[in-house]
Amino acid sequence: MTEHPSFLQLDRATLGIEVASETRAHLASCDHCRRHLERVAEPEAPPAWARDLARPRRRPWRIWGGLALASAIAVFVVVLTRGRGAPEYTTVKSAGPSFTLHIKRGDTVFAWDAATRVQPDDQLRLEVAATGFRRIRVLAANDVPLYDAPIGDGVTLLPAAWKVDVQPGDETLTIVLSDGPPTWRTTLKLSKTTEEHPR
Amino acid sequence: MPLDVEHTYRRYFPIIREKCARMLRDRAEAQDVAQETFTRLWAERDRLQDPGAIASWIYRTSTRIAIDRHRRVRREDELADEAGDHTDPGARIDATRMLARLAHRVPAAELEVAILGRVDGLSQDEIARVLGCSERTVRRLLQKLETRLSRLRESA
Repeated sequence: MTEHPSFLQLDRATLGIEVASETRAHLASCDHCRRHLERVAEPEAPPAWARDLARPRRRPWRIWGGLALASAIAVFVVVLTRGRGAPEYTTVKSAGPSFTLHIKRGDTVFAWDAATRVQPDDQLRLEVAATGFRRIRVLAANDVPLYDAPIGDGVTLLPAAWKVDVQPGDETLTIVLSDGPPTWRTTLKLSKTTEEHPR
Repeated sequence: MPLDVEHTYRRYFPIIREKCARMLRDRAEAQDVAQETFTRLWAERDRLQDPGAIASWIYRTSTRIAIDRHRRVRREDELADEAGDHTDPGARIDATRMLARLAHRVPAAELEVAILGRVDGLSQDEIARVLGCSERTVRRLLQKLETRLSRLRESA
């Protein structure tokens, strides 16, 4: 028997992409590779989180300047600043960054609506459209750094998630976008309940 | 790419799921990486049309997400893992262990080629096409990885 083709070759075959004749011959005689093809060909119904992707994007915090966000989340604090030491460049880029905060509670994932209280063990995850900014930092209360990495164009689901702890008090997330001055910065305050109740 | 999420999921998610299961020992973690990869794939659906390009994109993106996650794993996890594991770091492969042990010691680019080569069985030519670089670059990264692993073996 010939050497196994790569998994990429097998997956391309699953997708109906033409594969080399040696690969076809191998597949005809190799149970191991055939089992892989059967596994990836097994139909699997999309779960709720996947179906949710097709729903219209809720962008409650779409920002075209600072005021829209401020009104959308009412009691939350919004700060737009270039960063410490150079307030004269305070600005937001014209197309404006936007973000969605996803909350995972048990097996359910939903977008924060600026009113829902987070609960201990909720996992928080940000999806950000940086619109030209190249670096993102996420800070907890007192500017404790949670995440710091380059960010690309388009919408980016950050690879990091943060679990809400059991300590009383609201949660704070500050998002700082920069590529050198100016910097875009916003702070979210999430009220928290430690009582178990539906959102 | 089909604009129907159900069709897209049925067609591509099993490939993503199996790829992540090969890379990650923890089932929940593999599921998380698979979910994130699919979410990104859906977000990029307007840009990705050709199934061959999508397959390459899935390999590249899921590998990078898995590496990113492992590089954030607590140092204690890595040390605990080492305490119970005295295998040769260059030995052929327990893929998930390789990721867990080397994530903090090896540059991401070298880990990428190692995973695509050793875990997914891609040839150097395939790795180059998936990563969008030259075969020469792939060979150079593999050589650097081998050198690094040799040093680790010696220090062990």
